[in-house]
Amino acid sequence: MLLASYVFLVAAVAGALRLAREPVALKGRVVSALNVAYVAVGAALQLSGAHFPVALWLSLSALALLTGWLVDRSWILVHTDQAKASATVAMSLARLLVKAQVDGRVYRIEAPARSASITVIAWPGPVVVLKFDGDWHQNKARLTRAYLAKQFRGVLPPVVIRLP
Amino acid sequence: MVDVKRSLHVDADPARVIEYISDVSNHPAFIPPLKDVTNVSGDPKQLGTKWEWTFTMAGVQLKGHAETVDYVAGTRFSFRTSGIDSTFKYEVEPDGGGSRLTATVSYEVPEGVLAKVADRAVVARINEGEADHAVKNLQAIFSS
Repeated sequence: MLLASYVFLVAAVAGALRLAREPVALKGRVVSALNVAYVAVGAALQLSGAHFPVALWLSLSALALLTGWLVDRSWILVHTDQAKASATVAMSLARLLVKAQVDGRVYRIEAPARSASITVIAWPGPVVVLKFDGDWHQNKARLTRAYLAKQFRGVLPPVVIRLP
Repeated sequence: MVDVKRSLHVDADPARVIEYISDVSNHPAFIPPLKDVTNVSGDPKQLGTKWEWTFTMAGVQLKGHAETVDYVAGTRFSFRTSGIDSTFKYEVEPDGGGSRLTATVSYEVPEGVLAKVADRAVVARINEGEADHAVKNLQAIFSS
């Protein structure tokens, strides 16, 4: 039952991403949190006497945790390409007056004593991954990520009130 | 009308600060609830230049228009918005090698927001917090 609801959730997210008409960002941290929640609920069910095969449950849990860990510091962008995503990153850095060194697909933010970078990785289809490495707690890096988030729609559409 | 006023020191000369702020496409970079600025009809430094915006107030996403009403190079920039009835005024003056930036916003809480959050004071408090974030962001942007 838990596995079925998880598969349904993944399918719903995949469907929402596929149907979107504009660039959409799925944050790795959300995937990671969902996977941890899935493992935690699964563990609680197992301890309370569920009859799901333990070996299979352990394998699926390990896979979920590994996937979450791999994407935790990434955003998966759908309905865009590497050139557009790179241009969005460059525009965002410029608007925030952030000095950055560009090395191919990697943008290294110049900040005293700390380092942070964004790597723009093309995946098959209209999918691009933004990978955030280094220290993203420094002010300008934090602002960069917040501003980048505004460039993409979330998986769920926002409630909008249009004013005259 | 609700008034919000913030004054801060930034590490840049007044001309650079007002140049940055008068480029209204920069505003989503430092105003957290401002999602985007689109369809800018010309140079925002020119009086009468119009643009559209998307703003989230107390969890409600609102869309509206804005228009430049005052600009003096290196000194001040001001615009008025419709939809949310508001006036934004930015003034800068030299301050110890940098600038003192004073931002004043006068606004009316829209009915659409009050329909969701029925307390005007709560909305005002949320916007005060967003103003604090905006000035901190501007300081970070101009820091080296």
